[in-house]
Amino acid sequence: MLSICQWVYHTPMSIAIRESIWVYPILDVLHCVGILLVAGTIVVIDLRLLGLGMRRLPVSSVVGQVLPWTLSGFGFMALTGSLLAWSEPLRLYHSLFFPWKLLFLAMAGVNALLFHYGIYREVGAWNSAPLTPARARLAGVVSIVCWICVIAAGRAVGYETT
Amino acid sequence: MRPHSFTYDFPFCEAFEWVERSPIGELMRGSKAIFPIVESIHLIGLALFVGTLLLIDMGLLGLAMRRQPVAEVAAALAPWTRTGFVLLLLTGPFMFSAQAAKWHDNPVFWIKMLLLIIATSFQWSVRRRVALEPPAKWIGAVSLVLWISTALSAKMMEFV
Repeated sequence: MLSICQWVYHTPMSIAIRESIWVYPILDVLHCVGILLVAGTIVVIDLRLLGLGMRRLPVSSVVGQVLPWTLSGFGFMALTGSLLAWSEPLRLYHSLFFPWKLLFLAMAGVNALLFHYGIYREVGAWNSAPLTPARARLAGVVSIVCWICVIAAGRAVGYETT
Repeated sequence: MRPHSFTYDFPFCEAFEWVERSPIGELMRGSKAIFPIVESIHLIGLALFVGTLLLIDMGLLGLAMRRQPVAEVAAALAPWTRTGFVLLLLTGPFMFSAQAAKWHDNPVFWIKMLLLIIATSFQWSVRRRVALEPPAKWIGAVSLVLWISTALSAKMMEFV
């Protein structure tokens, strides 16, 4: 892993992003926008699953209308995040919090997939119910917690000195 | 406190230094962990605020949430936009107090504060009527532009 990080560190693109005055801040800003878009829209779905918002709309209607925004935010976040990571692989290799950020990100992803290919398949049975099944509510809580942890771990990576 | 010299002649030098030297400013610099923790709460509030606001404003523009009246979306999401805003307002001043004197010299800080005032005024005067009247596209557009500029200037503050 370390040798991969060292190789990445010496690629021309990594050097270019690192040494440019503007590219890194711009990527950082766009990455933040991406995370806000993902977390800020997925929380609307989570709140519906928990019965805390948009209760009058069917679950599938909320998911169908909000998810495209979440997914485009995710693409944006992943692209800019990869470029940021590409520019400083060695710092992230030695980072205490970066692995946690990736872990929570993966957990959020697994949770979303389990929801989508699990209880959500039977959404027809509880689509309009203000109170969703326990498994759907659990998915909502796990999602909110995971994204809070992703944001917090991300901030910790920004401030830690390694 | 580190020595500080003001490059710009804005009118609040002493007040800003006082805030930085206050117990709250010292608390915010007291440990390495506290600032990132408060900033995380700030960002979680921002996510809630921006996410719900975006869906409502994009709804006004006819680009999101098209299957029901915008007023219904606005009514359902507005409490969460407000919750996010409260989190932002509660944590922002604490983050500010950690390095108040530094922000005094940062032109982007003043741009952000100006945008914040304009965007908040617009929110509380024009945009809050969204739930009552037939939707007006321009309200969504203005609101989006104002809040995105505010959020971007907040992030750019770090780099100036």
